[in-house]
Amino acid sequence: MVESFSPRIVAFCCDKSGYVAADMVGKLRLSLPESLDIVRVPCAGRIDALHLLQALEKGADGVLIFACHEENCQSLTGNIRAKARMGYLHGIMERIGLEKERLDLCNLATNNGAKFAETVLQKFDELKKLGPSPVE
Amino acid sequence: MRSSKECRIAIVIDHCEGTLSHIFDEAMVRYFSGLPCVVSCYQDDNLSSPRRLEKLVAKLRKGKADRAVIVGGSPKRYEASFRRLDLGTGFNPYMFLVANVREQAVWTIPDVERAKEKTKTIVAKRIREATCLSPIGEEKFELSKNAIVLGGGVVGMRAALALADANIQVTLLSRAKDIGGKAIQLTHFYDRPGEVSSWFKDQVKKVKKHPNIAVKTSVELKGLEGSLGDYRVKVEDPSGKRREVEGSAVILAMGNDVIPNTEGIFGHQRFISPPQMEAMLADGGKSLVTDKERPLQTVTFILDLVNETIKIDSANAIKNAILLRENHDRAVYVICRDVKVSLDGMEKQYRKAREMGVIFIKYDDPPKFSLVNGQINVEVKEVSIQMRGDDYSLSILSDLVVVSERFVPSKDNQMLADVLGIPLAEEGFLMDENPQFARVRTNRRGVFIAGGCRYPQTLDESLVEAEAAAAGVTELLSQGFFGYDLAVAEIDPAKCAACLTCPRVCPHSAIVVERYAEGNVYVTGGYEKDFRWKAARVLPMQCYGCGICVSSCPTKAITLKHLTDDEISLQVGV
Repeated sequence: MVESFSPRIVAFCCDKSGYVAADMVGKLRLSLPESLDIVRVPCAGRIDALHLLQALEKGADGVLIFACHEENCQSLTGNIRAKARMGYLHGIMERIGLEKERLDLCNLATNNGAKFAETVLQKFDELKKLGPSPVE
Repeated sequence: MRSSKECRIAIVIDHCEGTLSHIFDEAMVRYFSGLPCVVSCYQDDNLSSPRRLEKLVAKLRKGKADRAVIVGGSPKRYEASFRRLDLGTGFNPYMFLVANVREQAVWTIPDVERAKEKTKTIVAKRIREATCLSPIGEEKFELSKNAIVLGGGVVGMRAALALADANIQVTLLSRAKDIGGKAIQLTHFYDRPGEVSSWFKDQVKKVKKHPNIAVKTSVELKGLEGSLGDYRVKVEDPSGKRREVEGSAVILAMGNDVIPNTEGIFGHQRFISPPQMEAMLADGGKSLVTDKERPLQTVTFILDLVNETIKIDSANAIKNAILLRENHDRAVYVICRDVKVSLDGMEKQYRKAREMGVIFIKYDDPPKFSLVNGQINVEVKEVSIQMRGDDYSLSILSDLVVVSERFVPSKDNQMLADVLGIPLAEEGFLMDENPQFARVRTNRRGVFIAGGCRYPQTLDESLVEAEAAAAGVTELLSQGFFGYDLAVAEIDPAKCAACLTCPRVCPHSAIVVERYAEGNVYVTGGYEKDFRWKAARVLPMQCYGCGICVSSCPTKAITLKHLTDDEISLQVGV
C-alpha cells in the first residue's frame, strides 16, 4: 500500500507569481505529480486559514502556498499575511496531531518555474515518507 | 449558489493551435457531454483571439447556454479577450471559466493516458465550480480633465508641461516663493553639453506662460483627501488662509530634502558641498582660488560617507572632476567605496575622467581628515593595498574637499503617507506600486509619484519619471470617464460589525467606514459627503480585487465577487 501511495497536494497560487510560475512549469515541459491540485487566488493574502484547513479536511496530504517574494507583493502585505496565517495554523495543526510539514509556503517570482516544480516534487517526496494524512 | 439544475453549461474545447488535439478524442468529448449540467460541447481553436471568441459567444447564445467552461490553456491567455468582449453580446465575461489542462495536465504529465485522466478531473472540478458563477457588471463615472501637481521643482514643472500639452488643466502648487526648486544649483548636465541655467529658465518661462497651467506659490501643504476623479488638496497660504484645490488626479513631486554635512571638521571652510562646487564652476573658475588669490590646486571628492545607495553623488563628482581637469587643470581625486556608473552614458564619462587623469581611490574604512597648514590632509587606506596585506595609507593634501550632502525624505512624505495610505519605503521615501512595472504609480488609483519624493535620482532620470507620471495621468483622464468592472470585494452591511479591520488591512485604501465622531482617526480618505453608512463600504473604483480584506474579516461579511469562498472550497475538494 505504501508503494502506491501518491500524496495529494493542494497548491494555492498567487495570481501574480505562483500561478504564472506554475504555467511556466508546463512551458518548460517539467513534470509534476498528477495528484497536484492548483488553486488560483488573486493574492496570497486571499487565502483564509479556513481554506487551508478545508483542504486538509477534504483529503489533501499536503498544502502548499506559492506567494510572491517578501516586499514584492503587489498588495503590499499579502504574502506576509499568508505567512502569519500559516504560523497560526501550524499551532492548530500541532494541537490536533497533524505534522507541520503538511503545510508550507514558498516565495517565488513569475519566472521561477523550475523552483515551482522542485518545491512540489520535494514536498511530494517528503509527504511520501510522512505517509497519508491521518485526517478521515 | 444557484441550484445546479438551472445552470446550462457549455463546454468549449480549445485545441490551442493543435497542440492539444491528441488529448481530445471522441471518448473525451463523450465524457464531457455526460457531465452534469452540460448542455453542449463545442470544439474550437485559438480562442484567445477576440474575433474567435465573439463568434463563439454567438454560438453559445444560440445554444441557450448561460455559462461556459473553456478547456484549453492558461486562463491568462484568454483574460485579455474576455475583457474586450462587448457587453452588447449579452454574455458576461465573468460567466467564463477556464480549465487549464494544457499547463496543468498535458504538458506536465508526459504519459498521454494519465494526462487524459487528469484532464477529466480538472474539467469535472471546474464544472462544479461553474455552477457558482454569477455575472459581474461594469460601472463608469465621469472624470474632469484636471490634475494637481504638488511640487514646483523641475520634476513638477516637466510633469505639468506634459499634462498641459495634453490639454489637461493643471494646478501647480509650490511651497517656495517661486517655482524652480533645487535644479538651479546645477550648472552642467552630466551627459550632454549645454548649460542647465538656460534650459531651466526656458522651462520656467514655458510653465508660467502656458494657458493650461495655474501656478500657486508660497502655499503650505496641509492635507489631501478624496479618490480618483475627486482629489482635494488642502493648502494654506502665508496669511493663514486655507483653501482647497480640486483635481481628478494628483502627481506628487515634492522632491527630497538635503542636510549639509557640517559636523566637526566638515564645518571648516575648505569643506564644501556639491552645490557650492557647482557654483564655483559656474563663474568660470574665478572663485577657484583661496582668499590670498592662490589657485586651489587639489580638489578631492569624498563619496559614500552618506547616501551610499544613491548614485547622484557619483554622477556629479565625475561630471565636475572632468570639468576641473578640462577647463581649470586642477588635480582631482575621487575617494569612494564604489564608483556608481549605472546611468546612461556614465561609463564613458568615467572612462573619460580616468583618461584625463582623475584619480579614483576606493576605500573600505572611512578616510580620516586633518588640518595641515590650512590644507586638508585626507588619509585613506586604498582597498587594493589593504588586500595585499600592507598597512599604510595614502595621504592626499587637498585645497578643497567636496563632501556630499545627505538626502533625506521630504517632511511631507509622512503626512501624505498617513492621509493617503501610501506606504513608505525603507528610508521614508514614498513607495511605488512595483519597482519593475509601475514605478510612478502608487497603490492609490490616480496618485502618481515622480522624482525625489520617490527616490533621489539624477536630473535626467527624474525628468523621465515626470514624463511617465504625466503619461499615466493622461491615460487615465483622456477618455473623460473611468470604467471599471465590479469584480471587487463587497461588504454585507448586515454582517459588518464596523470593527475597522478591513480599512486597516486594505493595501489600496479602498474601504471606508463612516465617521463616528470628529475625533475618529481611523477614517480613511474618499468618503462621500452627506452619505452615512452603518458599516464599512468598498469603493469599487479603488479596489484591485486582491481579497486580503475577505480573509481578514472576522465576521465573514466580505465576499470577493469573482472568487467566492464557495468557489475556493469546491476547488480544494477531491
